[in-house]
Amino acid sequence: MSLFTSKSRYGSKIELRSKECIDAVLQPLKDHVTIKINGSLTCENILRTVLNLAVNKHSVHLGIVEI
Amino acid sequence: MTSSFHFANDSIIALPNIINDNMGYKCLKLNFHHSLVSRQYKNVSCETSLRYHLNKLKMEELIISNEKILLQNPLKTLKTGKSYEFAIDLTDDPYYGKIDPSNKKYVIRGQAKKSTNSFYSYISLYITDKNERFTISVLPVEKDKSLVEYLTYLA
Repeated sequence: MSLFTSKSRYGSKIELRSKECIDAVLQPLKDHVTIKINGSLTCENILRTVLNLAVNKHSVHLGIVEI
Repeated sequence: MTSSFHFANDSIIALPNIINDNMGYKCLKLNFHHSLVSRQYKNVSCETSLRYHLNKLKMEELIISNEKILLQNPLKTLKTGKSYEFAIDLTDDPYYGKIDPSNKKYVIRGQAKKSTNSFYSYISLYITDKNERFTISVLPVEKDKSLVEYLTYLA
């Protein structure tokens, strides 16, 4: 996992971005959760989408939107 | 399909809520192509595909593998032979959706909170180390099981 660093007068700052957080969580999921899919879509695509939904506190709704 | 997403914040909630459509909002039907996932995210598969493939996952299998998933990263940090403190927590997550046979045993009724008295409850087991906390197991609470049964399982 790569961390972004920037230097300031208070010393170096490590910035952990959303992608790094997602990637850290995604790897164990990929290792232990398998979804068999035919076609170009992969298990990683599905898990990554679900994780991003979770990060944003969203949900998989078919044709549904918040009011 | 690429992996470009836009983020609003960095908090992570439990996967079962995502799968079971537990949103904190009242919902309204809208045209499929303007639905939530496709409006918020670029280049992701449609809701129909997501639902179809996520339905292949079995809650029982996720429960069995949850420790392996959650422990994979902490095991690299935790030291063997060192003693750690454990903590157990019970979390109620408000649920506003319908109760049907598929989620009946997981929706717990309780004291009203955030405009609902239906909740998904989770029991979590943590390892605490100084200022760090490692979640090593999360179990969904079932209606008919006592808390003692979960403590026995976690122990």
